[in-house]
Amino acid sequence: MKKIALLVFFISIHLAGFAQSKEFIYNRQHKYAHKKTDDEGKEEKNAKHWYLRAGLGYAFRQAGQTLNENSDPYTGTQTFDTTHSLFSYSSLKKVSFSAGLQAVLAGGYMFSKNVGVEVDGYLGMASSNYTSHFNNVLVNGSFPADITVTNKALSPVFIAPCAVFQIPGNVISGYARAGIAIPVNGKVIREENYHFYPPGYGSSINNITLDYNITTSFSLGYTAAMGIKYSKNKHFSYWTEASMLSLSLNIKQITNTKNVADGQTGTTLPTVSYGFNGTNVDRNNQVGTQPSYAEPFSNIAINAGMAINF
Amino acid sequence: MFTLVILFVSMAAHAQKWYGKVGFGFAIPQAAQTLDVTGSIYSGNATYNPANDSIASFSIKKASFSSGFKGVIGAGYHVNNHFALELYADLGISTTNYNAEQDNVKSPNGAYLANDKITQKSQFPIMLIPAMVFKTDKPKLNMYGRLGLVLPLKNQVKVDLTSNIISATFDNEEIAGTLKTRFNIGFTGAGGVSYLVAKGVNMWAEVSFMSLSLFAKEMKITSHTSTQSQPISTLLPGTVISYGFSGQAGATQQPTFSLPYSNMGINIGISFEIK
Repeated sequence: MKKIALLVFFISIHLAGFAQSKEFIYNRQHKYAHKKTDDEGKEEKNAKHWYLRAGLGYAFRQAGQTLNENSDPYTGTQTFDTTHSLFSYSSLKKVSFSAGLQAVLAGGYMFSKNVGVEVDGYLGMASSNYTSHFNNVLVNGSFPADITVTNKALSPVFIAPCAVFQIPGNVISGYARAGIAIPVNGKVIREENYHFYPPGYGSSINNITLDYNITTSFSLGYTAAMGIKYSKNKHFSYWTEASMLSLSLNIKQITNTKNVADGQTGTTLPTVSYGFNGTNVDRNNQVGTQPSYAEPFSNIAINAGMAINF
Repeated sequence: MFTLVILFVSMAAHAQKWYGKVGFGFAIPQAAQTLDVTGSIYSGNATYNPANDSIASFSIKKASFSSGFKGVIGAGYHVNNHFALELYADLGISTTNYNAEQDNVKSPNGAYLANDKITQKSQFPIMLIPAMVFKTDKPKLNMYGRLGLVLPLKNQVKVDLTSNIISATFDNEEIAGTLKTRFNIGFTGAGGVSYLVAKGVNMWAEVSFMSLSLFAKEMKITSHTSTQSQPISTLLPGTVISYGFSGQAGATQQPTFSLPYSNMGINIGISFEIK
């Protein structure tokens, strides 16, 4: 299905090019019903151009998730009762790891004044932090602790080849863009802080900090945008747009990078792999290939910047 | 967004006309999910090893409750040669059944083992989509792009659980429920081509995608049959489990989770001018 979709996408672009060349031949043969003037011909020739654009934006979480791969909240508070048979929860929110401040860099080519292609790069500059608090948890069934867990994407990068549609105007033009989102970096970092009361966990430990790197499997997403462009002169313009990204990335591996108990660095925990198939899997002790889980990366964003036409 | 519409509407308007469109398509899961709120699989199978609480083997797939065969019907208005406004409904005519088979599942209190089969299927989801369309203006063959909001009008998932108790007292329990979701706005985009086949009639083909997840609101148990006079499960007909963003978790209240509805589809159809 994805291959068919890609095929349709590229055929569409090819057809656009074909339509342009066919129209060109048509014009040359003077068969076009409303024959173009020389000025219109020049205008069409001028419409073909390369361009670069750059800008900044802010992405909001969209179509996200509230619970992580362990069915624990990504954000909010979970407090267990004294018997640990019940818990209360509050302030759950949906999360998306591509939310936050982002930079946009793109280059494109307009085949005509209406149709073009573009390759966009989205770089997460300050991704949102998601923090959850788990109170009165019995670690290993014995040691009461409060746990704080923070998840954050580590500079997510996406590349998006797109088709561009434009409604040209003398000063203000409208445009829309749709394409495929290719994740280049979809890594998430997780920090877990355990505070034991009374000190425990075997040897009167007060605090443990565990850091993890969560890597994700490659998966295609989709992106689209719509905006307006204000032309300051022939070569320079400002643009602003609303964009959206639909993407989730399956967890591939969780690697423990830091294990510190009361300031003493300990041996890191074994790396845990995730997949779509597995055998002899111990989910409690995280042994074997765990069933994969999709981390949410969808967003809707507002972006603005400038463009240079060549 | 509103400003954009006003700007485009105010541009030179010399192709103002109404049109209708109908079509159908097939959608596959995209930006989807593999595990549900309990950490159980949406689709695939898993065999547990009760001796050491491990999974002997598993095989899972992604799920999205809007995937499957769908219909599209709507109308639009050409503001000018390059821009149109559209309102259409995306109808889930035959959505995908998601089957999860889990064997040797230990009950929460560890008292018995069961082979469970869970089937989840969205029941004729309807999405209303207001959208903007950008298009080329050639005599025959045109390209277009479409962007819009997804407003879920009707969404509920039917959940069927068949549980064969295979230890202690043999029992076969079948529990059915309906899971309702909260309203949440999504986004959709499409790119495609249209071809003029007769005066005022175009054929179109497109690739579309939808980004949407819906939060669980409540699950109502609709039926419960058992081969025993005293069923093991306490999920009796009429029981309602509510899902929220805050609360006290228990038998009838749980933290909400989002159900995956994002998809990628291929659609074809016709559009026609309305005089």
